[in-house]
Amino acid sequence: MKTKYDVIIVGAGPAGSTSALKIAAKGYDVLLVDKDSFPRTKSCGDGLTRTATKILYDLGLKEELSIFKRTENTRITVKGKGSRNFKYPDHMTDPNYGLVIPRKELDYLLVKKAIEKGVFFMGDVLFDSLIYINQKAAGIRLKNGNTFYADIVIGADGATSNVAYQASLPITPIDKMGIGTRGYFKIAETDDTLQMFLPILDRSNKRVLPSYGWVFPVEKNIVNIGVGLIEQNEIYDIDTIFNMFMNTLKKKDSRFSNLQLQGTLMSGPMRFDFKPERTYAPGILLVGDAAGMINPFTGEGIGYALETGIHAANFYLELKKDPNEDFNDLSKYGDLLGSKYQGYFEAGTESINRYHLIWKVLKGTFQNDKPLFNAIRQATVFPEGVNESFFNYYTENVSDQISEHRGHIRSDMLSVGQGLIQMTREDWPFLSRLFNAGQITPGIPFRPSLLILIAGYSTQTNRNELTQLGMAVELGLAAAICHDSVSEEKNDDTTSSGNWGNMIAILVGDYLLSRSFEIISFYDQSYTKIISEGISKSNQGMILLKNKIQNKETISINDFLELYYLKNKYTFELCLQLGSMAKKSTKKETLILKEFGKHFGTAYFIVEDTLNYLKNKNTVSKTELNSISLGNHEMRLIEVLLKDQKGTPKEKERLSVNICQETAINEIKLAKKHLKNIEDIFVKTTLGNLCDLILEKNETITL
Amino acid sequence: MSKASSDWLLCNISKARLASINAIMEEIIDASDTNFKKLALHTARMGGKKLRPSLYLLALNTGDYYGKELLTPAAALELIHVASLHHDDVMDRADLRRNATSVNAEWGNLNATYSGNYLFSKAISILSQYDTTVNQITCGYISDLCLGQLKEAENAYNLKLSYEDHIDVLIKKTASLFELPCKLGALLSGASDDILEAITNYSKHMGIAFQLIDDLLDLKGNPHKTGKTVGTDLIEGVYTYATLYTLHETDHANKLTHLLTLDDMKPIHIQEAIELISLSGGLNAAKVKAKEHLEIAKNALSILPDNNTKTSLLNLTHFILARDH
Ligand SMILES: Cc1cc2nc3c(=O)[nH]c(=O)nc-3n(C[C@H](O)[C@H](O)[C@H](O)COP(=O)(O)OP(=O)(O)OC[C@H]3O[C@@H](n4cnc5c(N)ncnc54)[C@H](O)[C@@H]3O)c2cc1C
Repeated sequence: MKTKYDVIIVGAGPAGSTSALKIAAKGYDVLLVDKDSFPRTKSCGDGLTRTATKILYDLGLKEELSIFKRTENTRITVKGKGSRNFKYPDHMTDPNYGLVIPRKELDYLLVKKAIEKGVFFMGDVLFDSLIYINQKAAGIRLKNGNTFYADIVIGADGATSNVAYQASLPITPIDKMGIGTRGYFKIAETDDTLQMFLPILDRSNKRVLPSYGWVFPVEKNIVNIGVGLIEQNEIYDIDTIFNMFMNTLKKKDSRFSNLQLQGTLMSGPMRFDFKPERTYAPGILLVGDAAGMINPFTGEGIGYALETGIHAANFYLELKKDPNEDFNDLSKYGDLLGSKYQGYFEAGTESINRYHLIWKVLKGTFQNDKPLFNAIRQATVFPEGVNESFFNYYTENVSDQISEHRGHIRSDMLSVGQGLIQMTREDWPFLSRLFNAGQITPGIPFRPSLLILIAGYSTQTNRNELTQLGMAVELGLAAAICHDSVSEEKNDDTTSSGNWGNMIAILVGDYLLSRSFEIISFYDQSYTKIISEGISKSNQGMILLKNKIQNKETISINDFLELYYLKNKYTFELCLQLGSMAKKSTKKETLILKEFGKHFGTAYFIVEDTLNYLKNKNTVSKTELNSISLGNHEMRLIEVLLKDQKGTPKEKERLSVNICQETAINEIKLAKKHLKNIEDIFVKTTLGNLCDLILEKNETITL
Repeated sequence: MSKASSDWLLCNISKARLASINAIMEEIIDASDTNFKKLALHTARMGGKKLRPSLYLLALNTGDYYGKELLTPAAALELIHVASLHHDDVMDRADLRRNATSVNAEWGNLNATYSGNYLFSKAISILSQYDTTVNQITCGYISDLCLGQLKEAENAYNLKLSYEDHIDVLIKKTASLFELPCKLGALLSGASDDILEAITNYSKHMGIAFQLIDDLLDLKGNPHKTGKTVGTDLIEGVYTYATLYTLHETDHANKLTHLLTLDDMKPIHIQEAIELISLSGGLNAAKVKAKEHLEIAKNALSILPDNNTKTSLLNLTHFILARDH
């Protein structure tokens, strides 16, 4: 028997097999061992997200997987708060659905695929311990005494990873892990919807015990029903929770009244303790559940298992290119996982508390469509749809409008985003998730911070300073989104005694705002002055405009614009000013840019708001995924006008839209007048292009 | 507001200076719209203890320099405090503040939120005028303050919250607004590094003690004086030192846990919980802890020369301990 391999992988679940086949496909010798022989079954809900599905297709399994159930809808029900449907965004490329595949079949398919690629697989053998040479894991010993050697050992042996234990990497003791259980049931007819119910255990409204149940369609007449508990407790064991769940289902839906269990219930542990620094050791990489990667809100882990399997394989292949590599220091792997997944999972004792808080917020604001709550909801229960709502302005790709220095500006824009993620990660990893979302636009997104980079570009400008300024402004904008999500209600809703929504909106908003000031305080204090004045003015503008609207005063366009300038001070105008200062332009040039920004920004928002209004007025229902109400939508020009016009609704609308279009054109005219006096050719051309882009969009507005 | 609340302040210069900060606050706020100004200054005009400006003004006496421009930060510091009250009242759903209508009750939650932001950023703007160090210190403490509040929320209903984490929250959410005025005062008046360190240390422990006592008032205070219903912290899952003591160290832990995890805590349960906390020595333990921190605070001042600045600062420690609202 061959005893020397390039890589040894312990555990042939989705993570292990994927890693194995990726490495073997490049011609390396891989040994894959598992304590079971395949096919074998595993406790799981069998639900695969769109990402997981896509990875499997990319591995060449599309054909084999065509027989399994496709799911296009996810319906999430929160106790006492109703249900909401979630869909993958339309623009997602194929596949834009998930799959339900019994693990018995999925894991077997993957093992077979691995063998096909040349992996040497041994089933029915138990991993016993690591063999160390010079303090580095250099091989494994099986329970039967056989030994094998390799460059590295990949621990893919699931939640109770013995590889991690043997490598002295701390893992959560089993009684502190989460736990789940599931069964297959015969049912009259299934649909294409994944159903999730949260929480099941809700003894008190206070400390909700994070728990969830699911009903996933497996075949025409078979469903997978199960429950998960992220934190075990003294009062309820998992079987009791399962029975509680079954009883609710039966009461709610007659289809479930006569369920027959197929086979037996099966339970398994779940780990939520991902921590980048404990995913590697000399000669060791951990993947999938062994690395603690399960989403604590939905129990989803197959996708992450596949992804980390691929990351580990690529990581190894990269190192292997260097003939002198000794595979001792694998810390870069931890960094890689850290940058990809922090915020998705969190670590340490605090994480459970954070989950509790988010759960309370999730529950309290389940039917609330304010952007912050949309973002939190999607980030937790439907992670793959998170891109739109937190930042629903500023997503357009404007690469073509940037006349020069495109590469430079794009890379600085990326640094701004990365900086935000890194910064929030330390204090509150969950937030970095929201910023991750802003990273999705390809090319160069039309964000306010982009204008800092444009106005600030020169070969002499300190790029680091520019990106820090960009971060500060973006943090302030995110804070505003949070603060705008405050509602006038005292409680989250009529059935709730909590006000977690307002609480989180203020706490997170304040936190982001304070961080914005903090990072900028390390630079010239004039920046702080300008940013703080910008924030105070825009808040003042908001109060004044809001109160005018509330008092039902008729507002002339000029009055509106004056207040609107004030309210929008913090966006484009401020950014142009900051960029120009960082470049050390003349006072005059900075002033011109500021004036330009005032009109430019106003035109931008009027056009976007009008388009959004028209797009959403008929289609978006309250329960729909996308939020329509970024900020206070009653402050939009279109809404203000609609209130004052006379005539039939159609006429009112036509008139109002016309006025919006004219106002936007006029604002761009004013902006361009200032543009003439700008000396820097790059700034002048690029801003001119952006003006034209706004005009073009303005033209596309039709009723 | 009440005269007795500033009796501890013996330094006449500081007293006089303190009297002028109302006018400065009025000046800072934009006056182009009278309604706006009314809203923005609603809370500030109610008066209040003005603890933070007082600390700042006392700290100003520890160095050699004084200039009129150094009065403005006192107003800015008060505005930061007021801003946080605007936001707190929205979160606490408080209709009353200092026995008058709160901003949120009068103008709504959003206006209270926005006006808080307005005051806060105005204050930052003012404090950015001095030098980068002042600016950095200010922003650093503000960021701690916000993080502390977030951490407190994170731990709501956490029966296992450790003392260490609890105190860490107090340092961030409360002590930071005591440290900041003292540090700025000492720094701007050109006090020596030793003095700067001493007074910062003093204010940190004062801040911790202040919050420990404040939290006790929620458990036993007189609602007519505090303006708050007794036991709100318990209902809202804010488990403070006394509660944690009973939970971590006494035989009453189970009984208390049972009460705290009730679906719907009624006044009778709250009363019962408070009795348990009292009976098991929780209230006392918190008071002892507060005294401990006040002792550290006092000792930190030993290097200050004996004068009425020092006496005032020492007085404050007694005032805080004796506070009933
Ligand atoms: C009840 C339940 C429901 C779930 N539902 C879903 C869901 O619907 N969707 C989803 O995406 N995720 C779900 N998950 C999570 C998902 O099951 C895991 O995230 C996923 O299985 C992780 O894959 P893995 O390859 O890392 O580990 P595993 O799939 O656990 O594979 C580990 C492998 O290692 C082998 N092994 C272990 N120890 C040894 C040893 N000492 N020697 C040799 N071999 C060993 C095991 O036999 C096993 O084959 C659920 C989990 C549970 C418990």
